[in-house]
Amino acid sequence: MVNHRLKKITAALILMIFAGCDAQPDTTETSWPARPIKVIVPFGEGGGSDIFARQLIRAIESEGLLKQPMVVINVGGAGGTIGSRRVRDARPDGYTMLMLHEGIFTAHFAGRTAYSADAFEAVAGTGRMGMVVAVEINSLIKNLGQLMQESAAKPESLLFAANIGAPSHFGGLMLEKTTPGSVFRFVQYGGGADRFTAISGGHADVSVFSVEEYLRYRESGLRALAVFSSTRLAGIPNIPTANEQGFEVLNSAMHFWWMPKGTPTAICETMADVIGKAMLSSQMQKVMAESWTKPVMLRGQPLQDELNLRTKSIGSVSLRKITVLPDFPFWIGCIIAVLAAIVLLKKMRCAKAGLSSPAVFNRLSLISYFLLVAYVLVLAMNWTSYAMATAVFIFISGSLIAPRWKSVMLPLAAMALVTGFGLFYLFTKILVVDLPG
Amino acid sequence: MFVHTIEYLFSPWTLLLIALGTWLGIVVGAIPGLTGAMLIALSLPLTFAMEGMDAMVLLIAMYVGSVSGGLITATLLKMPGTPASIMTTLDGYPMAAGGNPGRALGLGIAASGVGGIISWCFLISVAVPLSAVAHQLGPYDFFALIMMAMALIALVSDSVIMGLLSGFCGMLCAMPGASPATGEIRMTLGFAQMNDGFKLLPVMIGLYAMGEVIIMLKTDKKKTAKVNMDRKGMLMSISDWKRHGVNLLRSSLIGTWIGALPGIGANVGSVAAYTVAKKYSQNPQDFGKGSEEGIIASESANNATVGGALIPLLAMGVPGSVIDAILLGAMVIHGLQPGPLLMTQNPQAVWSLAGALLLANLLMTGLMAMSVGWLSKLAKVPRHYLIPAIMVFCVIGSYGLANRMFDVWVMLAFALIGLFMRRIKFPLAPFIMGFVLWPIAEEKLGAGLMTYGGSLSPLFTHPVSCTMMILSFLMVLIPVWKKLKPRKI
Repeated sequence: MVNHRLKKITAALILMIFAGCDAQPDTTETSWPARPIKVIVPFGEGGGSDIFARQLIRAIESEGLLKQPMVVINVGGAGGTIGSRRVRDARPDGYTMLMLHEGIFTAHFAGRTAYSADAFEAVAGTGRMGMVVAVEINSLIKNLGQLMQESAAKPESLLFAANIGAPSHFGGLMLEKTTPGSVFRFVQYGGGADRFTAISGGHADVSVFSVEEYLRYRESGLRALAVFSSTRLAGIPNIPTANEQGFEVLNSAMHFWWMPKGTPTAICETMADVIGKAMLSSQMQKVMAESWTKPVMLRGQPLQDELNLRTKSIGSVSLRKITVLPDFPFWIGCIIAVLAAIVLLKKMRCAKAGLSSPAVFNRLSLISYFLLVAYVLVLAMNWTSYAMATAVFIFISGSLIAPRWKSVMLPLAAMALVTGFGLFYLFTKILVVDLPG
Repeated sequence: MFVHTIEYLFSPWTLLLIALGTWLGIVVGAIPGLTGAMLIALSLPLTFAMEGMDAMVLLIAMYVGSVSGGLITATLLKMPGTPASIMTTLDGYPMAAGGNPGRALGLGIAASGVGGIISWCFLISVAVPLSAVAHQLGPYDFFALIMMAMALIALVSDSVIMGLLSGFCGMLCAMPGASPATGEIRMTLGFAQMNDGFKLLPVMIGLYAMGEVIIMLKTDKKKTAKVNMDRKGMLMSISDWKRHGVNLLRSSLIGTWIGALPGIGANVGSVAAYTVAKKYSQNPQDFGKGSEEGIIASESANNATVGGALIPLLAMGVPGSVIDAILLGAMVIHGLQPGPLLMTQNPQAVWSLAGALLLANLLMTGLMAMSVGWLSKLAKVPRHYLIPAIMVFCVIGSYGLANRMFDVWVMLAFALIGLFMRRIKFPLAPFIMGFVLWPIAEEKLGAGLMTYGGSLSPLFTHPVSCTMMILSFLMVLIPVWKKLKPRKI
């Protein structure tokens, strides 16, 4: 019986490997793009970055600017660094790109990544979104001058809601730098909605918001003190700039498009052309007007200047280490050690109990588990296509489990093929998810 | 205006969208490895071309369906289809395995429907004041609230000390990666892949779904449980309603309230309601062995969180859960600016969304009740079809979360850990709850410490947080003390 099974497994593994030997499409510059282009958005679905990327790609597709589709892949986590790292390590063949805002600089200066913008080829910068500094509507602070005076007179008394290590935190640090002696007390609150909740609930005094967020929460009780731009913004002409009030802070959010270092210049240029044309489409203009985004598009030297400016301004502020937090892993570890000791002592006292449950594995479940590991390995190594590997896996593991192999062979094969190819079709064609393998 | 809203809601196209969304949500919710958040996030780009209201109605129906669908696999296979139905496995599965899958499903479905409708009543009546109260809670209040949820979960298991140990182990497993309070990277052992730590979905799929699959493989194939396909007992009788009425109402209220708090969603809601139900039950010893009250508490509360979580979203534009954050994105795309102005500028949109929520809840109850018959047959599908399919879904679900193979490896590793935990009789539920709750707790505690310059004393001087901290200490200490006392005598 076991012998029989082993034979089946070997045969299947050979099958899986053979199926993977399909030819690689050529990636010469003239034929680019010969296959879909993956756009890595290093944040979750439905966030600001994701929405912007998807809308721009929709404009590219409806205008017919590229021969091949572009596919958004959300690789969220760790403040965008998981996704940016993936693109940095990707092959520079023009089929992987990254859309990441100034978080690429802040992650670097917050010490989360060793690399910064110079580890990528910058393709384009799109859409400039203003930032405002805002307080609760009934706050006694009426303008930027008062805010800075207060924070200089009583350092560490004003609570600044921030996403620590992210652009909103750096916005506060830049503001601090304009007035000697002023120190905010930064408190971690996360995204814009959470920062607004903190301010309206009276748990924090001040924070930085994008114009879009500000307009969303204005009526719920938010007062902008200043915009961090060189001129007043169209959507909120009555809010003065920081410069007008005598504080030199320039800060805005912008979506940058990157390709891995070493991507041929011709490809980057073509991509920049495409993005530029899409930005001019009426569809994109409407989207940006609705979200109060300035429809700028930077490339070439202006883009480099913008990147250098941001590196300089973000790099010029220094991050203070947060010292008030205890070493959580250490304390939780201690508690676990104490509890485990108590449990062990109790166990020793009544040694008869415990360990009466039977073993968790038998031969069948062990083989199935290893088969699953082999399947995942095949997918991880890209040895064959997803549909093929899945169909083969279902067929083998099903026939291993079935009591009488022969009688279920046909329905099982049918189910294997339907599931494998069905899932592949559903995920890649309808839901547009990039599958492994 | 109401005429327009009703006309819109009952037009065939809208009803079709609601039915489609609910049904898709139920299916995805039932499949271990696929969650509602995933479905809604993936469907969002597909709605770009739709009318704004149609898109929102579809997405809300998906939300309702997905929270409910999880109970099917939780009850029949002991695999929670979504994190929100973890508590349902504790009682639903024993009851189904005891030969009453129809009754177990029926109770869960009815409770889901009632929970959804009660929270809907709150949504339309007290949305604004309720979200204003939720706003007043500061970081320490939230931390104390989460501590209370943790204490609750330790109580659910047989031994409080084992429950606590398991919960703290879960917390430790949630720590690698970026710290939620400061973003600093820790405990990664030098692997860049670990920078984001272990995600909930792969851990949960590994511990529960994969673990159960492997146990199913091990158990003797001849010994298939007799499934009682009797439809009797599926629909709740009048005496059932009388007996469980209080529990239903209480659990729905807890679910609505917890759903309305930003950041903590259906998972916490069902835990809290379950434990409270156990406290007030006349037969607390039945909990965990197939108690009807347990199923009802868990399922009515997790559905109630949907309406609850929409309260801050519609009233103030603040998302109450992960799915609500995606819905907020969808509203922005479709030109509906969420916030207090929405109610005055576009009241029809608000009423249509609320109406869609009610219709989706009713349709969900109907769809699920109609399909109980063939759903309970799921437990009889031959293993050689069921198991490979579940395994494939576990893999694709873990991968699809962030498009990373790393998450799949995490899932495989936690399957082994889960088996080991079952072997040494280590309770699983506190582990997963510690894992879920710790990142929120750390973020709130961190925010509190940053606000007060490292001082913990406000935790005990503010009335709300102080009350909750004392309650959570008492909840842990009293059972321990009770246990110790007779021994001394």
